Amino acid sequence: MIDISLAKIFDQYPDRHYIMFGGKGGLGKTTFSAATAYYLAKQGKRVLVFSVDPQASLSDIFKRDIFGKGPTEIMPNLYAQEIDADHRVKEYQQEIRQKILDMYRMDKIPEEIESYIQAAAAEPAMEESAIFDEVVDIVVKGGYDYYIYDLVPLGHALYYLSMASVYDEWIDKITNLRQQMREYDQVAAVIRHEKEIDEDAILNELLYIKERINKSSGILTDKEKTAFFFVVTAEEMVINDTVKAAELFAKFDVPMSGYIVNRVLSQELKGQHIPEYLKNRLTMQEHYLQVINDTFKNQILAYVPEMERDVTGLQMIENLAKRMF
Amino acid sequence: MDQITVSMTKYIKDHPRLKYIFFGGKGGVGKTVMAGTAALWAAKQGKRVLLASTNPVHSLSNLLEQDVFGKVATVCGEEKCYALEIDTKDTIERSKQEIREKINWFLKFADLTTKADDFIETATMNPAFEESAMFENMTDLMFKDEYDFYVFDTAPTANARRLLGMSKVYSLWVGKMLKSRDEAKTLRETLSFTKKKEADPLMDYLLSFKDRMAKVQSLLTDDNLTAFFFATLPEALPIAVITRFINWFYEFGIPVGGVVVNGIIQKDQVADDAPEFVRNRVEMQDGHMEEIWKIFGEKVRAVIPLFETEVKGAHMLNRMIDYLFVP
Repeated sequence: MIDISLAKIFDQYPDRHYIMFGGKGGLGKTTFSAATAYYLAKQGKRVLVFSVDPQASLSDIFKRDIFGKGPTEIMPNLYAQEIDADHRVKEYQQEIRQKILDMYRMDKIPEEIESYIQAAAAEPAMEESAIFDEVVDIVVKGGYDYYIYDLVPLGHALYYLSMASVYDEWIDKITNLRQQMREYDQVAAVIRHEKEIDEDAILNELLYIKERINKSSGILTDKEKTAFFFVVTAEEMVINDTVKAAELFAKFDVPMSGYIVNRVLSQELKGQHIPEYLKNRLTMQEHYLQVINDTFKNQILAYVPEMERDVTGLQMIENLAKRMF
Repeated sequence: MDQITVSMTKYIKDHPRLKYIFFGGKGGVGKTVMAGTAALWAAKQGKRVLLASTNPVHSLSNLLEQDVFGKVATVCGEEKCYALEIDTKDTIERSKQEIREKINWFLKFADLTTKADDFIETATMNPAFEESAMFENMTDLMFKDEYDFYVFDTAPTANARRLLGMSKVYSLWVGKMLKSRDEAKTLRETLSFTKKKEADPLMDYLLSFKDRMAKVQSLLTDDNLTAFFFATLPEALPIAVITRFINWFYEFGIPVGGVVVNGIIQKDQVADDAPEFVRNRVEMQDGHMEEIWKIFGEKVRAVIPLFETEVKGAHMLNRMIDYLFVP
């Protein structure tokens, strides 16, 4: 049923350094991210697995509190990171406070301004930009052979991916505007017989941001460097949603690498003395595995069995990685 | 202790004015199923019920086997049970229009010929935009007050927290905006020769917005009216997620109604000679149930068995009622 395995994909495309798992909530995206990181680290690659989900579970999976602690070494070559957006926002706030104190030579921030800073920081967009900023930092900084993105559930992952192009477009427009204005400024300067004008600090700042974002968004849509996997299970709702999502992702030029089927029950159970619910699930599964096979044809890279216990801790991650690859 | 002290049924009976209930939790734990069951139950109690999904990835239509996207319809053959998947398209369109006007004004003012459309498209593709629109639609439903009981199926991630926490933030922000707007206006009136009072649409908008936010906040933090229920499975990750959720909700002062545990393998169905796979799962389940009782204790409102088939459609939801609402 599998034309090409997950392990082969990694062998065949050694330049794909950015690995992403997408899918509905609760299908095993985070688990697969962790297991892939484990597999690659065991191959001697330096790997960073990081979560862009404010509702991350990497800490739970590795049984280590890594939230907001930066890249944490889990085992040789394997680093994990959970981004603490709130913390990043607090840093922004502190920067603003410091600027105000310095500029106006004040001892403390007036209450008025303080509550404004607090309200602005709690804007929902703030959290998104904080996470985005941190991801750009991680990617631009480099230092790892592989980056594994543990993404948020479908709808929001899509937004997240689209955000790169959105930011890029915005900055383009703004830089254009700034540049036009700068031309006017220069004309005005010539008219006023001034020889030079101050360098446009804001424009430079914008160009700096643009460069960072281009780097990050370029990665998201780069077929050479990026592999995007969809996680699916043998259930009607999940299959329908995945088909819809895959179409949307295609619109954003996200390079789809294939599908991984999770939570597959062993056919061996069938002949044994099992509870009623399991019998029914096996029958249902048979049907939907067929549907998956017809729908995603030769893009299925792995069937991962339903594990008999939670995948938490390195031992279970190792077991899972063996079944995946 | 390992038994339910206050069941779902008793909790609702003890809160006779309860009107807004929410279901949250990690993805894949059965939030939508719980919400559907609760709505159906309430309708059977004689209440006029609205079951609404505020999840950007809706699954109500799928659960009910009936298309309710962007339109209210009676469901499950229950006359008083209405369902709706909120369609944010119109709200987003309206916001876009507002932004368009502001940007056009700005471009004209700055004497630039650039077309505003690209700006607007990009500005409104922010996820926060959809969230705000969802929140606005939800408050609209609450304020219209056409139903006796509301059941909301929320997004799986932290967005639910943000969705509700937002009301608090907005009122703070609007308060600031109003104040500075008011100062500017007074200044302009002082400087104007005619001393004529001008109409100020922005000020009016801010004022009505502030009212809305204060109102929704008072509804959402009233534990006589509102309760948030968390669904989990007897598995490590969903438990960890709702443990964090609950703490956040306390911080925001949003009333936590309790915890519903879904998908329990019935032990009497597991034979002694069952395969090791099944026995191991049951053993793991026992461990997690112990943890659930320890962490959530008397907040557990129902423990629901794993059904043989997917819960979908009126028949299965009706069956589910007996488990979620034990008399």
